[in-house]
Amino acid sequence: MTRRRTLFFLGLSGLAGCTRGNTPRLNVFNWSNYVGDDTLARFEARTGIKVRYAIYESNEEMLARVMTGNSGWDVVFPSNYFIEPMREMGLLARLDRARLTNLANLDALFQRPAWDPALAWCVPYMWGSSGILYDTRLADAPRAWADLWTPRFQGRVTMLDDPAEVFGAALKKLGLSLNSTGEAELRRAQGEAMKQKPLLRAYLNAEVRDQIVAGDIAACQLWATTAQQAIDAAPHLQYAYPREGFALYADCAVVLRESRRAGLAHEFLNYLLEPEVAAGIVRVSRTATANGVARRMLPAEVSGLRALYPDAETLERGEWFQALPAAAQLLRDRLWTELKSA
Amino acid sequence: MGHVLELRRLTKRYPGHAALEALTLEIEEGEFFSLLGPSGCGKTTTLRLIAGFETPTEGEVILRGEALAAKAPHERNVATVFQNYALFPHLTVRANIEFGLRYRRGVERSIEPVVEMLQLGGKLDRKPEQLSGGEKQRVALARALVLRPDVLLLDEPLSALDPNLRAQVRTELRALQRQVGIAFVFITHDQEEALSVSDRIALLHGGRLEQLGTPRELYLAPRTRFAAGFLGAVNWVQGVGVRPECTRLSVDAVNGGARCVAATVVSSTFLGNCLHVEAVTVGGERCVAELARHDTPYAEGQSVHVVWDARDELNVPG
Amino acid sequence: MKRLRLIFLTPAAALLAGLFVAPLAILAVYTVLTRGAYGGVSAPFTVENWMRLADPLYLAIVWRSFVVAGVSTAICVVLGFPLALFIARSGARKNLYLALVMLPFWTSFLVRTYAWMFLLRDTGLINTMLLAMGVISEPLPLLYNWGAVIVGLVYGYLPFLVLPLFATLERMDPALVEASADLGAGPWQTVWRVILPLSAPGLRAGAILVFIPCLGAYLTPDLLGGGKTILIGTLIQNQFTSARDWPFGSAVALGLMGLVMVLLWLHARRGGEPLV
Repeated sequence: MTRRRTLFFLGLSGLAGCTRGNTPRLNVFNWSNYVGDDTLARFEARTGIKVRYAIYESNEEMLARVMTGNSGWDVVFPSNYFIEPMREMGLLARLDRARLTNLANLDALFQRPAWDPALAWCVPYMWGSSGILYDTRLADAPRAWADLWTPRFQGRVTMLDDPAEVFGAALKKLGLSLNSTGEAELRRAQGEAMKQKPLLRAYLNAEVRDQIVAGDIAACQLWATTAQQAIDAAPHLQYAYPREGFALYADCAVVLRESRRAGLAHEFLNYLLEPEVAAGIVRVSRTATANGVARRMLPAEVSGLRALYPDAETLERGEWFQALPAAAQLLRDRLWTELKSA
Repeated sequence: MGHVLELRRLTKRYPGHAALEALTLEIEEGEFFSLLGPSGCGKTTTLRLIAGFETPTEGEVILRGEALAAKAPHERNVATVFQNYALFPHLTVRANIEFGLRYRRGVERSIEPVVEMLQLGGKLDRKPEQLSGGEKQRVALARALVLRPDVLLLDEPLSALDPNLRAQVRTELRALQRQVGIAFVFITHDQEEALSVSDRIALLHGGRLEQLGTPRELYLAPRTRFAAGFLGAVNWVQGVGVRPECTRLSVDAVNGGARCVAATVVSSTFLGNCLHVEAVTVGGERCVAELARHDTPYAEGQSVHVVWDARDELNVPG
Repeated sequence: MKRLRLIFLTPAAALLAGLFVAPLAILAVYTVLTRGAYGGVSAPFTVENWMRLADPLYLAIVWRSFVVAGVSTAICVVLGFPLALFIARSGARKNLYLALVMLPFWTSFLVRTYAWMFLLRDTGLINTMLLAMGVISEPLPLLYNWGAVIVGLVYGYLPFLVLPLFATLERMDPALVEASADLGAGPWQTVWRVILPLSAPGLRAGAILVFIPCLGAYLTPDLLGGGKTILIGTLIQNQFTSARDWPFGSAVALGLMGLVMVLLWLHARRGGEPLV
């Protein structure tokens, strides 16, 4: 899933080098917009550790880099559904919980997450959902995915350019799990997507933001963090959590098994878990922190953003993305290609 | 027969210099007319103005009584043989010759007569790159003549040929012109070429008409020193011009009708068909005598007399 | 001499071997391996990835890419020929016009494609102006369709056609054009019967330089086409990202390269000009 941009190949190249000189150095590879302006500098000042930091735009891009097992990176931030695959591939180091004294600061939601109940491999960092962003001036509030299948949005609605999201929404519309792997379910979802395609203006990822702000688009499927940026720019936009259910994801910090600086890596993870640090980051990034203590420290106008922090009742309808088995993945891509070809 | 082409005060100026200044000419039906002059004299400009590739600054080109000012090149019934022939490299000889046929009304549709006249029968399916220089020239002629233009313009058509071939080709060209009866306007910088083929020659110099006349008039009665010198070698002795072939040498002074000046031999050059002896007169003027090769040999430093007949003097004013 | 040549050739050869041949070889090996569960490749060897290329689904994508590239190239030819001719005939201003043709290369292709989005979208420059002038009452659907994709491709690759064509036209003997007019052909007839045939090598070289990148383009179809269709470039990209099917992606990429090679070979066989 290319969450931030479609521009997979333009990501920064980040060949993290080995330690130079005597200053201990930590190599961190993260999503864009995921640290504050002084987050790294303060860590460096406090510990004397030098941080080499680079950003990526998709899980696939990150995985392609670290897959070799000698990429030079120490800490990366895969999404929750990439944790299990990366663990199976032997890329992750088991976390030493004794050194992560700040784990307790995590929100209750992330104390025993489904993808890593014991938090043995990852530390949840940021999270979000994908729902519907709409223009309150142009459309009655869509309450369900099914509303994006109605002619009232003809030509003024977009879906994400991503098979997991489009088929996920279609599966939810059908009342199925967005992690369905059966051929029958996936084919039904594709059928729904086929029906919807003529209504769509386009399949757009992050670039839809500027267009819905400008008023080109009345409603779109969008990630909550991007939606929040749009709402910040245009207050007449609103984010809806569809009635049938919606996708959830969490980006988690992990230590790579190849890292020869596991101690420093743990120190860095523990630092990120400090409430002041975590709060400082999301004040800038306006993304949803997994750190419960930090969230409570934020002013209400930040911690109360509904697009970022659904209430408990809404959260019930959310479903975490899971890793898709190889066979289902192959089928889904084929169905996706068919959808695009139609 | 009247004139087919008329140039009236034809002028072409470019920023900073005049390529052609007020040229007035009349070219007769069926005439072989040469524009002669050194490079930069305006002869090529004249041709391009007639063909329509350039627009005159002033003056007129009149073809068969009709002013051409408003007509584009493809609307003028003149045809050009370009200096490098400008054959279309992607077309066969046949297609080259047929190229213009579809545009000119009332022109016979067959290329056969022209092909036969120029002996191109066996070459019709060749591409220009497979032809010799002479053949290319004949194709260029055929391509233009098949259109039966009122005037055929030839831009130094012999200069791209092998020197050995030129004399032969110019004779053929002259014969061809007689045969087709079309007026030729022949551009050349070679006075021998112009003299040998032309009915009349216009000698241009610095964008102006220097002298107009038959080859005989130009050679024998040049009106300027430039005309005299451009048409052939001249000895300037005591203010008059004498051609080398009219100049003799004599050891003794000559009395009677001939003119005679004392001189000293500087050099003697054997040229095969004749002997060139160069001498310097007592007045310090260099002159060359073209002598028969069995004439007396002269030694360097020998005292002689330069002798000529008064009737051979060129009467150049000024 | 020979040794000197060897010394000078070595860096380029090493660079090519390292940066071009080696990755290609890796790609070639990938095509006969099995996809890893989460990307990457694994044993055993298989020819399945190549077999999949014959699937009608993918053949249709290849065909569609050829049509899009072909249409874009044809439009580039129609627009580029007069432009190249104009530049070749513009005397002292030639260099200025050439610089203008190449000016877009000074900006990133991505940025320029985004600029097109700003022009074409509902609230973009064109629609806003037409609405303000009262020419239309509803925004025209200019973005996210085939028209937008082809506009983007033509815009992006037109210079690749103009430059080689200009080179050919400039070398053409001006006397040939004069000869054509002299023989009675009007300007259009001269273009059709003389200039066009004689510029064929440059035109062919330019057309190939446009056609090949259009065939593999993925940025323009994605950004201006709005992802509602799929071309080879996007198919390849998907295999390395969301589909996590590197072997198949490698096979499509190499297959596309093979096709391009055939095109180049055909061009060379016809005695075409060198492309660069």
